Amino acid sequence: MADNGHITEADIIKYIDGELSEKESEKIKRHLTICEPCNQKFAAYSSVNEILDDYDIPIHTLPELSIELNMSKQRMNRWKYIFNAACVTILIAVSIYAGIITGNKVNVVIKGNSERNEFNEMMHMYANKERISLERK
Amino acid sequence: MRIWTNRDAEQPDNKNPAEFRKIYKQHGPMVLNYAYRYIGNMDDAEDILQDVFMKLWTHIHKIRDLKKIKSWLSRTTYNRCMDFHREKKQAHIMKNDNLYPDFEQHDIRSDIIKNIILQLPERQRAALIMQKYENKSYKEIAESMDISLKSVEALIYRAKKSIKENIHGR
Repeated sequence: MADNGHITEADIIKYIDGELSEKESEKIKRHLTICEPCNQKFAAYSSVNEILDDYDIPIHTLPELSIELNMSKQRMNRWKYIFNAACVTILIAVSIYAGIITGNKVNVVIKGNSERNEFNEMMHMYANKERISLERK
Repeated sequence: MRIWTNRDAEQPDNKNPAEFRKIYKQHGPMVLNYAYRYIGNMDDAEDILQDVFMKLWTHIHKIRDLKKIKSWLSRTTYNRCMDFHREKKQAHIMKNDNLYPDFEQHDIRSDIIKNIILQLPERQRAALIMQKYENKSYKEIAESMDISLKSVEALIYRAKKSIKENIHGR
């Protein structure tokens, strides 16, 4: 209620929209039976609601959803991933093979970290021996 | 209804298109109607519908509770409509009061109301459409728009007051 004893427009709207408690609604309902100005406001806002009901949506059908397109995109991404993985595997295999043939030090993980460390340690020892023998010469 | 399993949640590729289509058929009209009432143009509303469901398709594994899909769709549609409006504004399409001249063949009275609604400020329009045409409570609108209940009351009040003045005068 407003200070002047009438119902505020905001409350009239909430009353029409069913957003007031039962107690508040009952109070407004009683007031509307005795107050002409508030009743006029109530009628005006009720007609706004009725007019809004006349807003039709043109007849339409739900358009087809283009999900297939998205799925084929995902499939494409999957093939791209497989191709990249295959390329990396081939590259590693070629590097290892080249290392064995040329006898160069190869810093590629073959099976696991421990084996790589063993391999590198061996290569390091070999290099030291070479250096010592050269110094002796 | 199952769209994904827990395992699928970690594998978003593994979705169920048939179940997704059911969701589309069930909730698609709600999204399309909201977008149409907000934008006032069926072509743009259909674009928004596709955008919203494409987003759902990519995010569905993150929505754990199926009951939340409706509110997720409602919130996403509202956000997409707001973005759409901003994009249109940036493109300087909004030059006069007659923003959307594509009037389909239906009732003249309906066209007048459509125009009145389209001229409301964005947030007032969004709240009014949710309240009047989606039958949402003020509380539900507050959740969809991520604003307080008081703000919703103010938006609906201003929207209806403005419509009343448009129809009945001040």
